[in-house]
Amino acid sequence: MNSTGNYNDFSVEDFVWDESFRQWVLSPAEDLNVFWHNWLLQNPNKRSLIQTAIEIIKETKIKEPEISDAEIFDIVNSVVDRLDKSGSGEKNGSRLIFTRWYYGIAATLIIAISVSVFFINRPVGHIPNNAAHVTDYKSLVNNSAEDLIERINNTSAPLVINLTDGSTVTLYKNSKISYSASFSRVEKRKVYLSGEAVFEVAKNKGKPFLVYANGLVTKVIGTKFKVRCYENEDKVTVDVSSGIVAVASMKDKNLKETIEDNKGGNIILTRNQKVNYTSSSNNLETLVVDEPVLINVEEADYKFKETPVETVFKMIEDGYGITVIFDREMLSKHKITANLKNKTMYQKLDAICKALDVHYEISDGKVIIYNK
Amino acid sequence: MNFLANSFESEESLWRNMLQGEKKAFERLMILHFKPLFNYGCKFTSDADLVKDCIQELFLLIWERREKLHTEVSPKAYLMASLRRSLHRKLKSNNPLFKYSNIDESVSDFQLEISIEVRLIQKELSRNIATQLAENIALLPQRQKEVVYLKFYHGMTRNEIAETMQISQQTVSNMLQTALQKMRGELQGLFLKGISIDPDVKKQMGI
Repeated sequence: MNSTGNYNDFSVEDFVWDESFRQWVLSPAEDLNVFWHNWLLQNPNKRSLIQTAIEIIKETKIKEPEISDAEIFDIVNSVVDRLDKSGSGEKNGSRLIFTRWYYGIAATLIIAISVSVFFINRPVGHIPNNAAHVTDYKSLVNNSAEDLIERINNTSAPLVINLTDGSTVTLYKNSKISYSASFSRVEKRKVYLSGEAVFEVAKNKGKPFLVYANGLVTKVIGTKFKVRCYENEDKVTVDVSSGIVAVASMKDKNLKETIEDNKGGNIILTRNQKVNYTSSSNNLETLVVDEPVLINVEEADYKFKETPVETVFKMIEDGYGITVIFDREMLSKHKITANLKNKTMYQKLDAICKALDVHYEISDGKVIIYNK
Repeated sequence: MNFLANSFESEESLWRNMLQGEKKAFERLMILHFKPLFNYGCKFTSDADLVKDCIQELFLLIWERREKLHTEVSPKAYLMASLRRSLHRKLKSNNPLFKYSNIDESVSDFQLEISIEVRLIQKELSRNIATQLAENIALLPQRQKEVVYLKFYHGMTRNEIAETMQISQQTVSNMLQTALQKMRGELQGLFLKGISIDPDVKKQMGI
């Protein structure tokens, strides 16, 4: 049992780092017990030394991470369950119950800074829950009436997909999308997503671009945004880098009206805004805006000359107590020259939008400016 | 502590049975090795979820490739080596700064922390030595820390450590020796602090 020499000559530290001695102290077995008890009997003068060494060994514990036996069993069980299904060609095992999907984010990805979200019509968490709705990728794809093309990215490099309407989808690792085989000819441009992708949408006034991801629908009004939802994640995240998107839960009973038909009742995200949606609880994380109630009695001077758009909209907001949502970046350079005094709010809006070549919609007390 | 020396026999047969497609053996193997692998993996990153994911991936992969695996390997070393490799790969790819670096150390610190329950230590001498030891170990270079950890806290042989870290057995020995020297080096200093030592112990220390 001597590894490096005679135990009689051992110092404290020699014992501390002796394999056999350590094993006896930490996880004793029959044969070790016998050996060491005998040795101590034969060397009673070493008792103190040994005691020191034992104490040191016992108390120099490594800090190990916590994990319960229950959790280990759960994980093992989930893997064992998948044993049959592995080898089916699913490269990265995307069907496992991963605790989290981990991947690298390239520096070129545009990640929006989350600020606030304007909430329209529906209070948080009160989205009507239609239990019959199945909202996961697979079901949506299977239930689609149209012929779909599916693109899968199992590689670690992002995959750029050009859609026939001129839009581009950059599909990230372990992600897949499905879209109509005749994408440029359908009434509504629908894309089903599992995973993560950045969308650059070609403008098309008549045809909204809709992304369906794990219970959340994102409609594009602007140009560039990212959707993230992985198959076994409960969460969906939408980041907007430019333009405006409207999001709604698929479980919304009036989904068709809410988002597909532009009737409002959805959440509008403008540039640098973010919404988090949790499928299981059908919960959209938003900040509720205080409804402005201030209404000016006197009409302010609505005579504009080379006035920045931002100022114009601000005056309308202040004057009518109605929020105007517009893409600041897109309209930042524009100026308005017009005399809008004594016109109704709608007339003012009409005139402004005509000048900017945009159009607006009213959604429950807010004005939303859309690209044409 | 997970010294598998006593169950070495059964572990080998578990491995062999798993290779032949026995799911029960696979399950046993995974249960047996999960915690040690998890403990080890968490030394390279604080992202516990990443480590759990890697371990799951690892076992699935082993099952898929079981017909191509060797029967006569140390399962522990094979598993630890594979985990180390896949973790490093993932950590590297997630940290663009290190994408082009070949330096092992730069990818991830080996986070070894010794916690001492000072009040549980009766003897003042033991307390002092233990505290000093903890400090010394913290000051060890990354790979020496790793070698010490694998040997003394996982009970791995020189051969197994070599396979896990992809280095030669000689390097393992050298690193261990250096590390031990460093860990014990400060013991002499304790005497200068005027701490009373058991005369027997003094004699053992050659003082």
